[in-house]
Amino acid sequence: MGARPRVVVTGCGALSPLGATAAQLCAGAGAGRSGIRRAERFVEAGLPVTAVGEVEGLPLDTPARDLEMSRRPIAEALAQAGLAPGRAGFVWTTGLDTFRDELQAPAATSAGTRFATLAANFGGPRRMIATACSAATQAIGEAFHLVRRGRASACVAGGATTMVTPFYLVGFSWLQVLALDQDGPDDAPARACRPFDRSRRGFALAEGGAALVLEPLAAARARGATVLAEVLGFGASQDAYDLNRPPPDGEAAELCMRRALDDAGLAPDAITAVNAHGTGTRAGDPAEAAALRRLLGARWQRTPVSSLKGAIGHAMSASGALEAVVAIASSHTGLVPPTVNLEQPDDDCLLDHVIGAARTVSPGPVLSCSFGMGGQNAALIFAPPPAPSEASS
Amino acid sequence: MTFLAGAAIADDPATAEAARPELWRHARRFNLPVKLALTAAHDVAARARAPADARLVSLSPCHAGSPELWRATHAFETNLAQTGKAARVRVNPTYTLHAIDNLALSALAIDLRNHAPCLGLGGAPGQAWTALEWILEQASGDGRPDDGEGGEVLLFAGDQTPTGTSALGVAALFSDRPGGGPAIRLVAVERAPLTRPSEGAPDADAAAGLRRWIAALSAFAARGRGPHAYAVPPADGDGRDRITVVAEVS
Repeated sequence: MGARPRVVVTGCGALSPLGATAAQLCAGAGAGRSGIRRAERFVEAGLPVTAVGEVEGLPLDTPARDLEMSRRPIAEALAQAGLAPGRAGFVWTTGLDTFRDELQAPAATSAGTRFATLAANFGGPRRMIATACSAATQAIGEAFHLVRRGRASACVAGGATTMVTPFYLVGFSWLQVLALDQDGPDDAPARACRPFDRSRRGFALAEGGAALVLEPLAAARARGATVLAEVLGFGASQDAYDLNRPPPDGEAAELCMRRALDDAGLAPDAITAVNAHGTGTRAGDPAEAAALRRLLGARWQRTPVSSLKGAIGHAMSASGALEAVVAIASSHTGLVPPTVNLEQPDDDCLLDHVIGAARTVSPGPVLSCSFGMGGQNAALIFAPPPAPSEASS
Repeated sequence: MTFLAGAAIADDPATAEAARPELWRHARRFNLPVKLALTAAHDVAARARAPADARLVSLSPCHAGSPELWRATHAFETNLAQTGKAARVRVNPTYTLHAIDNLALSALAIDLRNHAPCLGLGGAPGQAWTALEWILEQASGDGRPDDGEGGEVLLFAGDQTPTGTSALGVAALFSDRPGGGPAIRLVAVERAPLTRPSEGAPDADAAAGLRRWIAALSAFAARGRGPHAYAVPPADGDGRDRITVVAEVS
């Protein structure tokens, strides 16, 4: 059995409700800012949900806006890495088709054709991932394994989504997962999504995109590229429970985290912080908390946990990539962002939550989790860049 | 995981429903390609040693949705455009499910009580061949034991015509040991860049290309033994590569 090449991240890009770059996303998350706002066009339309996470840096009338939601973070990540796409593989998710259309058959804007357009510039492999809210985490994990196996000399991985549309707002509100507007003083849009909080009532639908560039450590060193983080492990699992809700004990969520740890060759006590899925739904948060408490064992009360969704909402298939960008920053800075809007953790969501302000821990491995509606789960582990004296495999 | 241990096609709704009435009752909320994909998947899962441990690989439809979803969407968008109001149009949540790209994967995992690592590939042209590459990668490993248990992969897909008037479900079981009859082993997926874009304009359909490959391979296996190189028709490709799937029958 030969030594496996170590895989590192050399580029990050992000377009989010907190800004047009990865640095702006991390700065906003660290400061506990919210990017959730009231969309007046949805108020005028009489929609039951109007608090959403939109990317203000990408106006609604931008031509091919859905493609731009992918292209900009990809370009940012490639520029930071100093790589051309022709050299890289591409593992990406473009979310679901968007259905707003013309008057005959709704020739929807197909997610698949959008992927094909984006993939055309990449050398290969070119893989489109479709596992709902865990898709971008799965995409990064698959890219990690492609690079580690030597199937790709570098890979761009992540995802983007533009699902903040009337159709999906209404559809998901009927599925009872969105934070509906409510009367009274507690209806501020920035307070819509409250992960793990007693008063949580669902998530704010969001859009955005994020991309990572992954390559072998040896190649990054040979090119003189700046290493942002090391990818240590990836794990996936399926709930096999229900289409709309997770099992209350979070058993399969725990399983994917354990598989990621096993892939990384780490024990749970090596994890210094957790970037949780934390959607703010009544059913999802307790299940995730239960899974994390069992995974972390005696350390669950002193392993900081943070959810980004209070700040930016739930960007569905892109969420795992946006969260990966923040987890990567946490792994090397030690700065764990607060969970925006978390004030009183629910009794069944107890964890070492980061409340109010960011917390600083020792730089180290950060676990980042995503759990898809329908039950596909994925987890990644990022670590600080290896020291120059460390071996490349 | 590279032996083709079974395959199934479901393309006639009436026949499929008659064959698996319980499944169709259970899946009544789903759209036709998902029902047919699940029918085919259950047919090959019945031949698996340990279906609960097999790795599930799904190919999402290139043409998602359903006639019901499209009608609801049309009504919704028309009303919004004409009145500026959206809230009065009721959208059945079942129709929203028809837009979900991982619906078949989730439903099959639930049916099989399968917690194994999985792969859901999206509805871009040519992802079927990506799935075969993934299967070969899992079989080759990367120096660590697999975290799946069973040594089996169940690949399945469902898709429909753009108007939703007909649909197709396909499934194939790959195993670390051959099934009954001739041993059919997946050897490689070879790619070379297309020299002219016009060679490769694909017809987006998640299931049709897989069906054609399985049919060609089965016909070859019925005639003889040896290597089988299947040149993927441009219509079933990804528009970028000339793809050849190499198998061996022994």
